Amino acid sequence: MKRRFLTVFAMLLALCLTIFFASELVAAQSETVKIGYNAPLSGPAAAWGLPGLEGTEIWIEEVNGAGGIKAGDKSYKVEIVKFDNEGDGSKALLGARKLILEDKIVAMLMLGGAESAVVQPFVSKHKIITFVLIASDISKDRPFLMDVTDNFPVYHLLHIQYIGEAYPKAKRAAILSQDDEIGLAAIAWSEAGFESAGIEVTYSKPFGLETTDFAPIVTAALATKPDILSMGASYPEFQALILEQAYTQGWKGIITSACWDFKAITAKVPVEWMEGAVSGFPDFDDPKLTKKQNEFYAKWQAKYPDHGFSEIVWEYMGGLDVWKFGVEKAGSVDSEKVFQALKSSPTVPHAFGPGVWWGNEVFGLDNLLVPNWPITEIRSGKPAIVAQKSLNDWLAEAGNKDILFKYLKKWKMMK
Amino acid sequence: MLKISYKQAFILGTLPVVLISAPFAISGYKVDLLTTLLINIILVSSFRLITTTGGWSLAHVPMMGCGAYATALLSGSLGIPFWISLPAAALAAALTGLAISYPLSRTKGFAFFVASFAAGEAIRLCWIRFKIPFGGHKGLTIPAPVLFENVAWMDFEEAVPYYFLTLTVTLLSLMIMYRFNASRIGDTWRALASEENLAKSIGINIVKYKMLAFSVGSFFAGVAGVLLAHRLWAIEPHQFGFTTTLYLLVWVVFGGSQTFTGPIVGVVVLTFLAELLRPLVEWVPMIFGAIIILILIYLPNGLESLPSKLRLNK
Amino acid sequence: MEFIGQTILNGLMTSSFYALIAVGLSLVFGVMHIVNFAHGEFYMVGAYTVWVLYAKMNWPFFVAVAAAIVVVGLLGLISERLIFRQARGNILGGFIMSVGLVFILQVAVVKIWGLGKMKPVPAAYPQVLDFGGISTSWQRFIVVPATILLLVALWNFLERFKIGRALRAAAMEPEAAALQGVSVKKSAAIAMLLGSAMAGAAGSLMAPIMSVHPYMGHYVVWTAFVVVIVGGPGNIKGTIWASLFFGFLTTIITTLLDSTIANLVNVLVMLILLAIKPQGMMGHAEN
Repeated sequence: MKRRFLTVFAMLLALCLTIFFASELVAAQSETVKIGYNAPLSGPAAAWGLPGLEGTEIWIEEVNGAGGIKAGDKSYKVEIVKFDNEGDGSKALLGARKLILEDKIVAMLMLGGAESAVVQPFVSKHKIITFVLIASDISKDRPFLMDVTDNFPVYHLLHIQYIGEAYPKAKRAAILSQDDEIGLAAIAWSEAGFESAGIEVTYSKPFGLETTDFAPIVTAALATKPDILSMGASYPEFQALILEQAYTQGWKGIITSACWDFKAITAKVPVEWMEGAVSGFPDFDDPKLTKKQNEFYAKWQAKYPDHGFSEIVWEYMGGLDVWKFGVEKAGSVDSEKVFQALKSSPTVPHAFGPGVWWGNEVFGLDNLLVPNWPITEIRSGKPAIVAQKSLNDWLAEAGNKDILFKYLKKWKMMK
Repeated sequence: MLKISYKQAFILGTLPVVLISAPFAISGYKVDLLTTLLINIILVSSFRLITTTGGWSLAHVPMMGCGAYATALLSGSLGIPFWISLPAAALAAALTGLAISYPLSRTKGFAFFVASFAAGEAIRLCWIRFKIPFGGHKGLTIPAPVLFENVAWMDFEEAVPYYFLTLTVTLLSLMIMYRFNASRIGDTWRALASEENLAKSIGINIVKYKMLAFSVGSFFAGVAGVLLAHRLWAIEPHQFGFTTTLYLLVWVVFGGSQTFTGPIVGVVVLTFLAELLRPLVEWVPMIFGAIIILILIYLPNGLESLPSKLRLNK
Repeated sequence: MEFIGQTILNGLMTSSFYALIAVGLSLVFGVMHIVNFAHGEFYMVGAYTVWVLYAKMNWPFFVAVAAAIVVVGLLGLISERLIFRQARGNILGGFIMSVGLVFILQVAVVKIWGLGKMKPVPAAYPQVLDFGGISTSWQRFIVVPATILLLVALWNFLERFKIGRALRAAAMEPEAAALQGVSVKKSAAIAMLLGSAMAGAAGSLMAPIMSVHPYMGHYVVWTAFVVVIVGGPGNIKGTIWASLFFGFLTTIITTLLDSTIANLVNVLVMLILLAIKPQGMMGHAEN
């Protein structure tokens, strides 16, 4: 009995191994250059990875349609290699290993956050430039990680600076953000922003990721009588539920958040109630943005008519733009050379205008590309640019740096 | 079964060759898949050890997490070398297992199943809630093991050396577990599952034996956790959540838990299947779901019972 | 004062939701001795049905809810016929089959409606309901009377009708029920129909106030299990009391401390009760 079983098993094993090895031989070399896309494409965090593919697909069509990317006297077609890491650190590491060792990618696009801690030791060893969307991931022991698009959580300072100027009567703020790396970073930077703007933070307790019922949390936060409700970096799923609770529990005031899923929110609360909410992400059809961005929006809308626009759509693509700039400057697609070319350039074009490198003071490396950041307010149900704010101006104000360092130390994000 | 047939000799001869040569023929990424497979083999075998006493524990993946967290604290935070933290962390998992096995030993059958979930989930929630020392959702980081500095073939940051380290520990663990299984203790455990009242009447201390099985199983789950942690270099509570437990159950049910090799066959076959189906990756959970329902209906004792079924049908 | 009043209202609404999702699970557990882990996915399918019919096709909200109850009830009936019937008597086998069903339903929903952001289900009754300083939305408050209505209907069915009494007999004393000629197959099918319909009701009523996504069932199913185990499988009254207990416990701990501690306390309560009174808690589900 056992013998037959072992035979069947051995045959199965042999079959599996044959296919396993055969797939190795097929992987041949080609003239294209590959970029890894290691992000959550399924599972609960998919909202942070999936929409980005829409932007990168349009980008690839455009660049390859125009003959590819020029590096010195060579031209390359660009290919995106996807890996679904389900928002799970160990899967992201598996993905990084596959993308780097098997697909030989020259750069990697990632969401960042908790995954970075797992992936970065390996990526640094192979010197592969990684573009993330979370600035607080930048760290001395991750030399090749950079954030060239999303200035999270830095822009919380600027949103709040704007609120302080535009709504001088608002004096109390409650921050509701989740208890993970991203959520806590939002709380720390927001607290610094509020203190600098002379606004008292009445509630900033992080909530657990497992929370499904926000009624008790919102009740506790509203009991502190805030004029401002900051969603910090709450995930879109959380935001809609928190705001629904705040609305039904009879609160009215100024709302701010790192970003919105506006479609989901206005399904739960009236559009008028959200009027004036402050954030930093215009839709790309905003007339104050460039013509190129407006055209991208039209193209995107034609391609995905039912989809909602969010910053995720263009941010991974923004990484590709910066990478292309680096390749052209370096005259090579080699990861290290592109990295050096980018870092030695005093300004690098960011989606929101020329950006400069910053970050050494708080993250230990100048790997964050900082442009002047737009401030948006919701006007008749759509974000509209109402101001532009500069991080360097904020930092130059007397006392602001000390306040920032104080809160980063309080939340153990700085030694 | 005393005589070794040609086929068995063939398998016994080729298996080591395959295991040793495989990592040199495939890419680093696939070597890591094999390493993960070996770790999962320890996990399913140690799980089976507990099931022989009659209870299916849903705390087994959190027990693996205990090993991983213990080694993260020992080698990551305190700087104790891997070679000491491996047994120490496994022991920590065994002691945690011993502690929770006391309330669990009072339950049996489905009550055991649910209670073990509660115990495992409580441990996992502690990792999330108590940021000092467990790091919350962010988790902890772990260094790669070092034996001799600057010896290339012993650089355990690389996939192939780590594969051989894992292979060695896996074989050792399987040998020890196999000895347990074949020993008198193993017989007693099985007696608890099938004839609990009889075992009680002839004076076997049921609680003691159940707790022993749980601790030994947790020890090896801890070993698996240590190996996993030192390969991933970072751990977070999410990795030891219920989804991983569901896959563990699927592997064991697929392979069958009556024999020592059953669960190993289950995890090996399903891992290769999942890798072959990578183009259809989004469909894989559904395919697994369908396989598991069909297996339970038509082959309730798992793949291991296939040969005898085939024989009966002849 | 407002704070305490609001917390009581929050607790009441959470308890109603727990009762709605747990009673169906308890019924199936008690009558069929099947631990349906896919109960959470049934709840998810109920929510998706409301999203499709109400949010996308603009059916009236309560018509969509009624449709969801029917759809999920039938889904339960089909799974009983095709899957769970094969596992009769084997609790563990049934549980793992339901795990298979979880994977199948999740992938099916992902493949049909896609992943990405949660599905926005607008509130049908967004008006604020004010009790003098304590307030909630009608949409949320509706869950309380709807739960009471459904539970009373279920209770009447189990008390008044012959088949309902047979179901209760099957939950209380399977041997006696079998002796009296109650068809085990029939009572199992009806229990599954009713239990799943309750999951559908929970999912459809909660759709406008919860995140609707393919994995939403995963977050509630263990809470439902804790309630069912503590309330006693098959024991409707016990389940309702346990829902009230855990609804208020979770709300109070989340308000004062945080939700992770609330989850921790919930599982520890269950663990301690199981260790103290292992057989009592499980009722007749454990043979």
